[in-house]
Amino acid sequence: MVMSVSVQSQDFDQADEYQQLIKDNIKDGAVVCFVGLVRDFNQGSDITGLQIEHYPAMTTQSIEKIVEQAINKWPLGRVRVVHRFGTLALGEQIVFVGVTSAHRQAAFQGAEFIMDYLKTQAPFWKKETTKTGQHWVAAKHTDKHAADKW
Amino acid sequence: MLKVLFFAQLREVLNTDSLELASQATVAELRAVLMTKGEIWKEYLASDSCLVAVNQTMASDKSALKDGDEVAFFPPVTGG
Repeated sequence: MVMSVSVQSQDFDQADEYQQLIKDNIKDGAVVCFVGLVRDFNQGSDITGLQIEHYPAMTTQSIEKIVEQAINKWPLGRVRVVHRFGTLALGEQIVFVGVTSAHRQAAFQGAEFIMDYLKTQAPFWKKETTKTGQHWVAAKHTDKHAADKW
Repeated sequence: MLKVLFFAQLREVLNTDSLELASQATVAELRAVLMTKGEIWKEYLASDSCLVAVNQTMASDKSALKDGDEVAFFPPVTGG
């Protein structure tokens, strides 16, 4: 198992991340990649941008713990997570989760588990900018329920 | 001493990102001390939605504290 986690302000290239997941990897027949983007509408208002704050001393290790839980549940080959912080514009990439496995079911489920847990366990907070000001995003019960199902 | 950190909305409403306090035996005792700092502290730190981490690991009111620990309070996370 190879795990790699990056928490960074700069953007990432999905094509490069994918290449790292498949390079010299002949035992895994399945790759699942997820990318989360800044969208223009959330919780009842028009969004013009996003700021993401995090807890630097805790963020990377909390994501590594989530990945370790996924590894204990499914036979995963490689796992790569990139999560950005700072000021992001509409349409920008926020998060990348890439998972490889011998078979697709483990890859799909492992990636979904990691995203569900990222949303409820990793210390990131989003603040949205709208035309009328800024507000902190409220945690969603649906995200909690999604994580609880595992 | 304890190093106490606040993040996101909590950091903004308390107008404090970090402070140092005399050691307390548990998170609950630390929380009680912080709640004496004013109405806004009482309101936000008493909330069920105020989460806590000790030395960068999620913790609870029952968690024991020792000298030199880093304790962080923050609202529910909204990353991903």
